Amino acid sequence: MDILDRRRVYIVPTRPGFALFGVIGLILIGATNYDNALAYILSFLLLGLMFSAMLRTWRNLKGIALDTEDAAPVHAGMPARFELSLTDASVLARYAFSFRRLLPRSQRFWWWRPQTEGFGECPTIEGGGALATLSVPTLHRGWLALGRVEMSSQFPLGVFRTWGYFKPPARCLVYPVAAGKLPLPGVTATAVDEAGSAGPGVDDFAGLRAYVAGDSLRSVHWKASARSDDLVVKQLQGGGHGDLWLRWVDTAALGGVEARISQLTRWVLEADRGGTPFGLQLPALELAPATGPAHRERCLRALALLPT
Amino acid sequence: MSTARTLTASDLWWCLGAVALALAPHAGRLPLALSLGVAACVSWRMLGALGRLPLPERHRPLLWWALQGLAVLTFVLIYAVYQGQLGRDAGVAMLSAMTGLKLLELRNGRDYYAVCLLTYFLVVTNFLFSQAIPTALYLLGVTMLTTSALVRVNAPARLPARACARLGAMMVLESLPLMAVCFVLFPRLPGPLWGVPTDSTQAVTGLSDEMSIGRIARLGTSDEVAFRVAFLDSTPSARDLYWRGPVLWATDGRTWRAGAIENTGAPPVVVEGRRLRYDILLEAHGERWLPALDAVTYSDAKSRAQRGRDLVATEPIKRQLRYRLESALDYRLPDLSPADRAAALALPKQDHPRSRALAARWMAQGLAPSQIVDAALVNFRQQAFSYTLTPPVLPNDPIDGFLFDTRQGFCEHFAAAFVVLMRAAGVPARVVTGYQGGEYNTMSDYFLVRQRDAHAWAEVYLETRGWVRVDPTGAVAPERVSLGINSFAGERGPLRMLDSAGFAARVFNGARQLWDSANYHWSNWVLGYSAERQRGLLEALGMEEVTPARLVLWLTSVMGALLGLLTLLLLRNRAVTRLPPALRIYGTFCERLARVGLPRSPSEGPLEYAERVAASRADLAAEVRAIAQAFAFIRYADAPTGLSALRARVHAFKPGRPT
Repeated sequence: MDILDRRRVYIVPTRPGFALFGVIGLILIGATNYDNALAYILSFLLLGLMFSAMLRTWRNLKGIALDTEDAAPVHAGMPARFELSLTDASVLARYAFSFRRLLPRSQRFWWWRPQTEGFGECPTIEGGGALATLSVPTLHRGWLALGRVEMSSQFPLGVFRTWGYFKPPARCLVYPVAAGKLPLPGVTATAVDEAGSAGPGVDDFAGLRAYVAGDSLRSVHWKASARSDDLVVKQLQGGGHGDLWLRWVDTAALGGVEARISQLTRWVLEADRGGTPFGLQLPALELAPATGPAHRERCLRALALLPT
Repeated sequence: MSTARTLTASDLWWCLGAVALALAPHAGRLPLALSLGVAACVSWRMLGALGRLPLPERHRPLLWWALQGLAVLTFVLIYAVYQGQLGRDAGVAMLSAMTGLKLLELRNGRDYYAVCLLTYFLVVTNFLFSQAIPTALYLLGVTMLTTSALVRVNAPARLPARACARLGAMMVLESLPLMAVCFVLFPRLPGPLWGVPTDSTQAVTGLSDEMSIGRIARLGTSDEVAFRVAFLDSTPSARDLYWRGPVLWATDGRTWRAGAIENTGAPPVVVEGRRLRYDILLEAHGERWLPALDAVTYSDAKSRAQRGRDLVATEPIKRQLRYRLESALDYRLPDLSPADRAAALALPKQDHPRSRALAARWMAQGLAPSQIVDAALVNFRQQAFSYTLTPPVLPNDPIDGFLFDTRQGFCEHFAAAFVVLMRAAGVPARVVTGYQGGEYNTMSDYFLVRQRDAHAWAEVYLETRGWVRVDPTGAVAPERVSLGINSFAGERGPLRMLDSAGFAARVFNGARQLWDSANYHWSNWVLGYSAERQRGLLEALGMEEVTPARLVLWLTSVMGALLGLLTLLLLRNRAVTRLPPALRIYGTFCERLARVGLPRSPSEGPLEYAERVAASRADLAAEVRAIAQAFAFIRYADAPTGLSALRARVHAFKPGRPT
């Protein structure tokens, strides 16, 4: 648990804030020229308003604690969703927060904006706590350490922006992208082709199911898809005789390491959907054939953490 | 709020409301077409907020170009209407037009901020036209509303409108102390920076520096304030309150003027008796004369005394002026110089034959000058002269016509006719215009002199006594002098009725005095707070040698202190919207436990939390469970009772660190 104490809450005027400073200056010049007492008063009133806005903006953030746990794994390209839990020991009602992830130092350059990514919002923290979700984009497989989270607010007037950093130890396991065109071992390429061109009547056709990321476009049943809102794919009856082995060496034709990992990922997802027990054989690791979500997660994890 | 945020209908209402109210007082001041155009822009967007007539999103580039064209066209038209005079009025017209057009492209957060800041600026333009108390209060309200509009757009949508309004108003109130400090201490730069455009002063009424018969009578019905006077030491009696304005020496038979004779300056005065000190707050009248009691011995205004001892400022009085005077009511003057004597006896050669004849009769009787004065006053008294605010018109010889035919006149008739008679009889005399009397304000101890107190009287030179004030009006209508003009305002029904002292009349009069008293202090301390007043005030507070550098030093230190105070106040953790009391008490309870290392996690219910605390701190278990149960009962049971018991329990609950 990380609390923002007053030394770690930063505050600067926003663009509208600088503009308001400009307006105050203009009014003051006008007041001097016309020797107009109420114009003086208004400019001082607005100055006081900026003071008050500064303090209130700063107070809005001060003393908030943030805690988060590891996000559920996602495939690269999908946003990682960190559930932030905010605690506030005071009885203050606090409003309008946004969250961003600060890019790691290696990806940050002072002249290059933005230096943050992802976005999360929390409209209100009332009665001690609130929850918010920070979505962070993912690009690469492997661990994504959340790193520093910037929590900011411009409430109440938007003329000051206050922010502070949390460094929760949370991370997210990013699975590889499922991609690749190689057919699942044990299902021949011709079988897929026949199923795609010949249509009904072929014995291998076992039924229809919903499209899942990673399915080959060739297996989509276009006619059925046109009738429903979602894509529908043909399920083929392959394997079923003994165990299915997904082997690193079988993807040698693809060349690149990442392409091979993506292919294996797709295979894992397909095989898992098929329900056949499958095993995964990687350069330094072999997972015995099994079924079920836990086995699938184990395989995906092994693929995600495979050294490049 | 991100500046790219799209605006909701509720955001729009707030912003449009503030703009409309800031522009409303200008409506009558702008050209009609412009007022209507701006009103149309505001109404269009209001309809849009109702979902009726949204901005044409599909033709966005077209609208953009149309707006640019419209802006250029409007500015050219305004330039033409105001004939290139880019002063206050044209500036306000441009700003109003700009605001109206900006509303038509009000789409995202950035535009919203721009409109709100424009509104703040529009508020200040109103002060160039009026700085009266009602205006100031109204515009304070508009400022609060604009601030609330900013809160609205930054707050989450679920924050109720009332909370936004309250927060906006509260923030404005919070800024009042800092405003007051800045107002008192901010160094005032002398003079205009680039010159005040001529249109920034209003048309004014008041005595002019010449008198034609019938001129003052027109002021006789004006309730406008001429000036206010506060005596510092003691108050003279009502019959001494002759506020001298222009002293008129020369006449062409109809009109009296100061005269073009070389001004030798005021003759030196030998003071006998005590002096009176008093402050005058003079409303703008566009002329140069300054009202004063005779004879002025000291003035802090930029002024000089004329040879009639009338005070004249170096510049026309175009705005409210405050000055301090010292006068001696008893004084002696040196002998009349030959040039002045000649000026005080001059009459147009051919005019007023009947008046001359009457004067010649007095001279033939061998009367001394003082006896001639008495004879003239007796003449007024005996010949059925009457004093009226609506004298008959005198087309030919106004003096003879008044003295021998109509015999009805206002003070200027009496004064002019009296001076003509004196001069014809060889007694040096002159006309003095000014104000007589004043209404004493019992609440704030000052005299209010209105335009209708304008008066004209005469001064004659008697060898033994010097210049002596003679008020011929007083000979006819002594109440005019002792009671003031109200006793004659027969045609002014309402005030007449008020003279009959009833309870309602007294209440009304009290309210009127209170209101004028407020206006006096407002003018005196707020609107008239100048560099000199600042110096005076701060020196009275003990600051030695008020320099801008010192002021800035004081300003920054006091501002720093205020900032610290405000921080402390705000850190007292008061909620923006008040939580239900049970929740607040429970919050205190959790806070105390958090301080001893047992914070509640946000997902934990009260009973669950209590159990966790009880498990780790056996010494607190009983109390914590009791509080949690009481709280849960209040929050979740249908009959919320036991709030005060819970409050007492939590207040008594002081967990120590684990031992």
